[in-house]
Amino acid sequence: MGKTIYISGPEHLLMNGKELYYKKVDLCRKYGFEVDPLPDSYFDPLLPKDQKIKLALLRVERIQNCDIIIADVNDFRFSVEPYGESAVELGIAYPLGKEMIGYMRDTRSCGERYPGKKLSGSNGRYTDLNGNGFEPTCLNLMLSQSAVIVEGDFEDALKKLKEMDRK
Amino acid sequence: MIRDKDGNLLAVAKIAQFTCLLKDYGNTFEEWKKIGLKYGILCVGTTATDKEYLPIEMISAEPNTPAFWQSIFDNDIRIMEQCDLCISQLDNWRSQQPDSGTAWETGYYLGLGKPCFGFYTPESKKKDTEEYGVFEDEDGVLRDKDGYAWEQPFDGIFELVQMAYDFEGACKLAREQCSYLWEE
Repeated sequence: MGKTIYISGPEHLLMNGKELYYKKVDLCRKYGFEVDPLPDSYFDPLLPKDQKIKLALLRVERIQNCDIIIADVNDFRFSVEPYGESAVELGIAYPLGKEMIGYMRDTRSCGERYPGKKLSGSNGRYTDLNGNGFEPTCLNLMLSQSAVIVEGDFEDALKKLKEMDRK
Repeated sequence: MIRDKDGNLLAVAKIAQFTCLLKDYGNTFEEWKKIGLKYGILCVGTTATDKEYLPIEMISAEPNTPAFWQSIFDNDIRIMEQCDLCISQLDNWRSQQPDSGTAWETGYYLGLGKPCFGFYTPESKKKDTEEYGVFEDEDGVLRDKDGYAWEQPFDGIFELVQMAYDFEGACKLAREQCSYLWEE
């Protein structure tokens, strides 16, 4: 039986989120990995509060039970931050010793990617116009230093996993 | 848990924050430390903001190199392992969501089943909808201009974090909800 993957990303927030999620589930299986898909409530933006909490607990449990987490860490909502829940889920996985992979289209540093106005300092670090800094890496240090970051898409992350498994 | 010089039990709380990226961050964290002590909580921060436990000078690697960044991460993890709970600054940071490093650290404690508390200012959420072109779809779901459901102020996995409207509120919650930590 293949290793179990937990899929993390914001697609469940979209109207066709379930379809996108299951495309990833199918890809995982194509590459010889298992997935224990989250229930339909994951795709329901109108879930009552008590069910949201139940779902949140289930997600933590699924991460605890998986072998690998693959997270979409692309810039989300017009910023250089990935989807917040993916960051939380990567954090959950780390102390549990899970394999962690993030994928993103553009792995330049946060400062280089920032779409707003910015300034370049003498040390090569960027700041915004308020003087506030950016992480020097492609993501916040807690993410970039804890996970293998792949430039590409979900399938590229799977290919990287297979490559890591062969070593 | 540790004891202060008078023998009182203190819970050690990791303060997950993005203040280290702010131009002027130093005083904020020092103020939080004072507030925490009022509630029997010793606050520890991140490398560079926490000058007492994680001064940046302790990193021997050359600045702005991969070894330097790894050392900062390792330092932060070393301190996180010793904490009893987490208090997270969950204000919006450069987008409609919390800083991802703060979110990651919150997840760290959720994964270990340790208590997590958060705080945010409601004002930081109010102005979001206009900026992100939020609209209501035919099912009554709020979505941003890319079609992603709009979670206000938090949703999903953040439901597991108990929230307050400021740092002191979060400390108060922590003291109330985790009173067992201070039992002798």
